[in-house]
Amino acid sequence: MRLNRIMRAFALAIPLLAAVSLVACSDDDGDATAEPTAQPAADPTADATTEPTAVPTSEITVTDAWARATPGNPDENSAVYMLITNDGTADDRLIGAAVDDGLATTVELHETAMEDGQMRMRQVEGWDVPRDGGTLELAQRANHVMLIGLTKQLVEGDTVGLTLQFEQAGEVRVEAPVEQGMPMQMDDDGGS
Amino acid sequence: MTQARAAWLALGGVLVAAVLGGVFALVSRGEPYEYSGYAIENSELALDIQLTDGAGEPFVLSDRMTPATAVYFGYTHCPDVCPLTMLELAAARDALPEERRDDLQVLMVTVDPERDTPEVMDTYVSHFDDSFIGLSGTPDGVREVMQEWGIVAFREEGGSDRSYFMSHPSTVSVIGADGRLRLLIPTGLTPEAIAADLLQVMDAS
Ligand SMILES: [Cu+2]
Repeated sequence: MRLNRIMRAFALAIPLLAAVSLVACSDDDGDATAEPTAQPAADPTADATTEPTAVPTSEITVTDAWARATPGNPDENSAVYMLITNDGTADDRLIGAAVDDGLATTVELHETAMEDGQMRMRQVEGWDVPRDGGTLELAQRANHVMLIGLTKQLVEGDTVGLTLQFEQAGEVRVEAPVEQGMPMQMDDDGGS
Repeated sequence: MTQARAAWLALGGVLVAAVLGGVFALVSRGEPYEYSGYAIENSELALDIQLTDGAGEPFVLSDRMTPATAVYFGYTHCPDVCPLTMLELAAARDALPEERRDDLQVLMVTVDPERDTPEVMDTYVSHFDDSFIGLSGTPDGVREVMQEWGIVAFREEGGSDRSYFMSHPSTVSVIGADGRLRLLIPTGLTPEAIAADLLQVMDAS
């Protein structure tokens, strides 16, 4: 979680730096009318000195990730939760996930739903993460990255390394600390 | 006479005080408790469980009733709602006054006896609270308990024999010392709200 905070701060710093270099360039040219729409600055890969009409891109940040500790039975399952934010200019979609080092036999995207008093869980193909600050919350009783067939017990203090697959942003790394988890109230953000 | 008037005033004062006191006593005694969960009234049936505990010993609930017994029907391969419910019950038990905690017993009955052996159940519930009891048994034995308690659970489509998911109830059933169903606790309540509801069930027993 601490790592994610740092990554987020870093991600925020990039557009700032890009904006600064843009201003510097226009000063060199002696041209005071810099592009008023500094939108390309939101894209860390864009070269601010070239054309202003940048292709819309997705910019994914993951915060508050955690994986559920397991009791220590053979062949267990677990779930990973997190908050995903897209500060880019293009809509994106989470379409898959994988864990490091063969920690789980299968990794799937799951949703939990209550139907007629029954708790149901099923696999989904993906979830949208809209542009311009749109968020996707993977939270208890709702959505999770499901780790099926763990090859080892998840103990508090461990970290689960996983790679998320996005339609636009491609692969995004997440380090999820293992936590016991907390009861969550209906209108709680579930933060720990 | 001023004396007579004073006497009347005093009598009136006593009367007013008596009426007010009576009303207050009525209100404070008669105010119905508002359950956070779903209270069940007039349940006639005394429920029982006969399964196998974590030590592999027969477990007969009617032989070991406490003022309140909370029973959750789930399975250990459930990664989300089952552990969350166990966390909620553990926190609710901690929220009880210390001297009342042993008046509550928490049982988790597997709806997936094929994979959840008594030993697996024991490891599972102990992860959340040392006092929790995990129960399993033969598929027929489990089915019988589920039928008696009105519990529906089924295997979801897909998966393999080793890896599959179950649908199961989203509430915890609470019975009193007489075995009658008193309360259903949905997931998502605060530990304090659950504890308050449980105390009501205990006090009614
Ligand atoms: Cu799942």
